[in-house]
Amino acid sequence: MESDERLIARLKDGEKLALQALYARHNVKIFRFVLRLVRDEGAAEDIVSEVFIDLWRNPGGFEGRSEASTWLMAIARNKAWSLLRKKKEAELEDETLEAIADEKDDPEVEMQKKTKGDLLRSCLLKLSAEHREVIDLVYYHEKSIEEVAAIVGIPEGTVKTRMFHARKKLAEIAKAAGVDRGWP
Amino acid sequence: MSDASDRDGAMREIEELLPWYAAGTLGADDKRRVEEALAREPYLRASLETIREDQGETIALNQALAAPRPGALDKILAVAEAEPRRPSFARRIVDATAQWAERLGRAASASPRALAFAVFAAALVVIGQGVAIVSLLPGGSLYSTASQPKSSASQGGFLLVGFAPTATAAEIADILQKKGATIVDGPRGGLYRLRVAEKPMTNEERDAALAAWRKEPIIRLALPANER
Repeated sequence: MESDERLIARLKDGEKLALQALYARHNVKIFRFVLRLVRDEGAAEDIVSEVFIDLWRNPGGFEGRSEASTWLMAIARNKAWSLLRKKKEAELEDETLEAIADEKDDPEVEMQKKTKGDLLRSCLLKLSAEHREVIDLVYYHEKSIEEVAAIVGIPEGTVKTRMFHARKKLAEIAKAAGVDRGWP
Repeated sequence: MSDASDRDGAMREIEELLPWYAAGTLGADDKRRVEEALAREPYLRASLETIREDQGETIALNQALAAPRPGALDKILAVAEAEPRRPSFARRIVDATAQWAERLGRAASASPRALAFAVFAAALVVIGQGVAIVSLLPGGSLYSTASQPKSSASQGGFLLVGFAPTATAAEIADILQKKGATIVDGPRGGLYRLRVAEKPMTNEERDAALAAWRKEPIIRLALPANER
């Protein structure tokens, strides 16, 4: 399979086929990463389009210091957070409250209603965007500490601390939903 | 610092690395440290089990998410079509050299003196072509787009717009007049480059302009245009 670096070199020569190949290779993962942040399929699709349009217009922005997927995700992440910042904080809080308000049953009823997996997935949905982001990057996108630092734009030490706190928060939400796993 | 707090600090450090250990993305040194600690500490082994459970559910959650619609790529390719780029300088030199190599191959059947002359002539042409190409590039850039503004008169805020196939010339003229826009290039890939503002737009202005154009019934597609 042709490497991403080679495809980007072909892109610099104006080859649209290289753009299509890069899109085919990365669009789904970038879309899902953005969708988990912005929670709006239309907005996520627009952001993915913008990422690949930017890539077409300025492939020289890729300097090979990280993998192409890491670079593309960093661009997508900046666009997603820019959109999130535009939303009013009050709106975001309302959405979060609504999501929590949906889970009215007490823990025992919850346990009867759902499997442990269902419960954990609903807990993952309740994490803050900052915590969702780091959990997804580590567990689903399999990014190393260095790569998460490059995508999120924070020091490696902060990446580790943020992941620790994301796990701690997830454990607290899970405990409140009736899944006590004894940590933290 | 006491031995106990040293131990707590070391444990916390290993605990923080566990998610990457579970994902298989730790460097060799950290991986060895984690494995040594896991062999000693039942607490860390229990924590790793919890992490693996979270990891499995995170993967399941993400895999259940949608993917972009099949038509999403068309929008990107429409922009690429509307803003084609010249091949890089290096690529054009390689192509030119390849063409001359082919001619030299034919010349090789001629006398050695003819061959030497052909090599010298080829070198001159390739160098001359490179200088000519660079002199044509705006601002010395190695890349340019066909829809790039060619003079200060074409500076402003731009959008790429596709009109609905049913839109008549009169309707297009009306909307251009109504919005004070002019077509400056196109169609390329079915999109026209429109000048919609006198000055380059901020991101907010561009988003507002896009939203306004997309509301028009005769507009099939409206996208940000390259402002460079």
